[in-house]
Amino acid sequence: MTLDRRTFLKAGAVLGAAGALGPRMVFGATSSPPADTVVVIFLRGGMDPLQTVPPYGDNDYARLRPTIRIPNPGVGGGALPLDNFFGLHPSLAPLLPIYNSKRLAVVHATGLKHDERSHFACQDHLETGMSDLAGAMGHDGHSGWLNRQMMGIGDPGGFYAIGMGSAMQASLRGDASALAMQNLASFSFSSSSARKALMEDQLYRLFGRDNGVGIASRSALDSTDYLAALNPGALPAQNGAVYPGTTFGAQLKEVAQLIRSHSGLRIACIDLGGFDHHNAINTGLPPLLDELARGLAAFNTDLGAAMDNISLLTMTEFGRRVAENASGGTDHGCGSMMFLMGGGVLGGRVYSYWPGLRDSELFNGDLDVTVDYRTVLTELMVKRMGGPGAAEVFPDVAGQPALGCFSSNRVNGDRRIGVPTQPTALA
Amino acid sequence: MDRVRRTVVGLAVPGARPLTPVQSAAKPAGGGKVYPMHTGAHPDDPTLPAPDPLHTLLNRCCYGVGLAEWNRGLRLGFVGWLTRQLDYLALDDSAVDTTVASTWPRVTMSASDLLNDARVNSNPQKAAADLRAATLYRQIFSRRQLYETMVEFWGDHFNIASLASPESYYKNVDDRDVIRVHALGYFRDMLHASARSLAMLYYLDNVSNRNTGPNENYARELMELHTLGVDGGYTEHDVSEVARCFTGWTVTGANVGAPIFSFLSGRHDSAAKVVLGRVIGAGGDLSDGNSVLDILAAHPSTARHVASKLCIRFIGDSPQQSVVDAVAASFTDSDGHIPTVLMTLFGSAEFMASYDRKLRRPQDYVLACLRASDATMTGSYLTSIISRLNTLGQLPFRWPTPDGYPDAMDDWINSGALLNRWNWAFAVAEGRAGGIALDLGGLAETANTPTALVDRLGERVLHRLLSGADRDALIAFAANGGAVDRVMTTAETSTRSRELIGLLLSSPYFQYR
Repeated sequence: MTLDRRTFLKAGAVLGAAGALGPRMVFGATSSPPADTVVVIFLRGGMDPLQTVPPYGDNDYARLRPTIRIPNPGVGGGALPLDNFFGLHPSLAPLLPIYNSKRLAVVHATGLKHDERSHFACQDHLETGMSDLAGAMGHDGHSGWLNRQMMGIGDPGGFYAIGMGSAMQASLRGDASALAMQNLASFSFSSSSARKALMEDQLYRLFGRDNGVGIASRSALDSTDYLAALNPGALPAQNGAVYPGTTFGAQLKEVAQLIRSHSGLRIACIDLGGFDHHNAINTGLPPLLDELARGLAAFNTDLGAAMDNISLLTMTEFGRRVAENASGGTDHGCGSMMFLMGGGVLGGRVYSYWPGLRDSELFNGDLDVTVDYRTVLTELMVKRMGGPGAAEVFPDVAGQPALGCFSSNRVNGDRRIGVPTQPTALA
Repeated sequence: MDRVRRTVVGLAVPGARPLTPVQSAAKPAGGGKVYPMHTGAHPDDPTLPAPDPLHTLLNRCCYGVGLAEWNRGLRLGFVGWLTRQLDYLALDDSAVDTTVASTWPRVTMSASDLLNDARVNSNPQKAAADLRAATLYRQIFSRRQLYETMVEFWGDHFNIASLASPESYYKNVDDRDVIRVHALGYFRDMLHASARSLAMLYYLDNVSNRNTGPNENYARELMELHTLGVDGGYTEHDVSEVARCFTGWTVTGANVGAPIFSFLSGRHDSAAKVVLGRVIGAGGDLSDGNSVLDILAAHPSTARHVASKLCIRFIGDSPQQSVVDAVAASFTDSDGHIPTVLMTLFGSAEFMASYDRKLRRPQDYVLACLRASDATMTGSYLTSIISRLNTLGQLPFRWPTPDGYPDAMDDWINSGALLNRWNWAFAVAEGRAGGIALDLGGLAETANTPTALVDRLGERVLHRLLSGADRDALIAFAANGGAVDRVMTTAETSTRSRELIGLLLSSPYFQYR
């Protein structure tokens, strides 16, 4: 049946201001076990894992990358050592203090081991996480991994999950409802008409069919009321945090505002693109890593103690060929890496079963994958997101051991970000 | 099955090369039938009245349908309008050409002029700004609406992002000499032109592809995106072999202000290669890459891939296999002659039955609001459009990756996007979009009761019938508590018109193309 929004508005008026919200604003999270807000940053284009976190302790690194390699620690422009084997690209310096405070970890030689090297197919594979992806268009018939996690806790709706950007990330797509927003400021309905509210009712009715357009439209109308009441955009950054003045920086800042406004946000997806460096990687990569690192560091500073209950991770569709090409770049490869950040991360470590870079150790000329990325995400869901079914989102890796890179303890439960108390039903 | 029956009656396809099988006198492209009516119920609501097939054709082939275009369609009929649009050179567009050339000079510049211009201005983005404005201007004002639609289609297919490299100003040459020259020509010609395009050579790094360490970027995207498709049957080995075939393809002369495509034999790997099972013998030069392009252009996977994308663009996100097969066969039979392929597509029963299956992408939506309401555009109107396209995520030539802007509902329809579509519709309807004005009196004509106004504006803006329930609700809304057939004052008619136009342009009726 089609909901009549006007009825809900009337009913809501009886319940006071907080009740003047659409029915989809009732969150299931109030009765769920404590759950982190999870921020997934997808680095589009295939970030080179051997430039980003160079294995300077592996002698083959220099052999395979004679002109582009990051110099050893201690040399000018050299890697920042994370341990006696791995280092950080110098443009990632803002992440080093977080690593040293054990709230940032690296998983290396991870990803999905397969033969596909297409950006678009591999992004689909990573974001759906199903390995039986033969056939056109890749993700046909498969929902995003985060959407499956949401289905497992009963499609909480509202502001539970948001994809920042003009398109919703494939990891969020599926039957459970998620919102996409370009930015907070544009997430409202604008009309100069004296009958604006009545026009919203007309829109609600015109989009009353339960197809994709109808559901997204009605969800939009409900969400704008809620967002206007919360007004998260008015919250200034805390602790002197300074975000990069880019779209990525602004989106991180707005996710932090949504968290701090107690919107009920539990999942946020943000993209940072441009990591496809076939050419002149040492010109193209450093500014992107700088943007990434300053953004993550600002987010960590801004949220402060609230980071105890936030987990942030990065993904990318694939790694790069281990051998550089003659353009000073690297072509599409396989094994990659992830950053994990937050209070639940057992940080200050590089997690890796390092496969080695000798010719015999490579996978089709690429860094091998020794940790299926889905085992990392499964551990994240089980230990930090909770809910029934968390362990079954990735059936292909069911039962595989966890790395142990997350803690299931809540460092400080009192600091858990609250969920607004809502009228639970307008029956 | 009979492919000819899918072709619209007795059409001479403009621009076809003589003596291709489809065009030979022995096998005229006729004898089929035009499907007169839509078939099948509305996908979501069987009570919704089906629009005329002409409505589907015009909305798929235009950036919105204003009164003049709709009347032209009614006068010429489905086949007549389509034939005329395909013969685009016969449509006089000189006024638009003149405005473009005088307003956005970087659109007509040569590669060397663009290079020098960028150096003088220290700003490679001026060229992109000119091309973006000229493209939007043509989409709004050109009579060659189907041609502009196909220019956009191929611009996505051979996408080159204007922020991707410092040399992106060469995209202006690519748009003119690759995309526009061949948009309604032969696919193979466009493919060869694209491979030599300076902008493409830079964008996909073929410019630095050399024998000492081949760069695979162009080779991979050439097969995955431009020709075979990701499931088109090539292997990782084919990628590296094709990359070897293109070693030595580059740009020279930029240092002396005269950039040209060049083949440098000293950078070329002239050993033998095997591409898709075909041996390309040792000792080749430029011929290696040319052979690859010919193999790919003629490959059945390419026909399927292009056919599939065209059907997704013009029919729906999940087109029936039957029509994809028919369009692919037309591609193969016509040697990739695009007007012939489009005739097959638009003449298909699947197309006729496809109303309300395909959402407008943002660019289409933003412009269609203006054209459908015959808005008057002056002054800063392009700034208003560009600002909205930026919010909606579809600025021309700004999609960063080589796959081009996506073309499925899931990529464009979400809560935030819908809000921003409605906000555009209401900004236009309420006169709040800079440089854009509506002639409310002209749109409403003599309608001055709530009932007459809903009927008139529905017909005028949508060119189709509303469902009974929607019509009743909008009439009640327009009546604002009064009688539905009372005569309203001019001022009230004007206020109600703005509200109704905003709602109609926001509605699902108008979100579909």
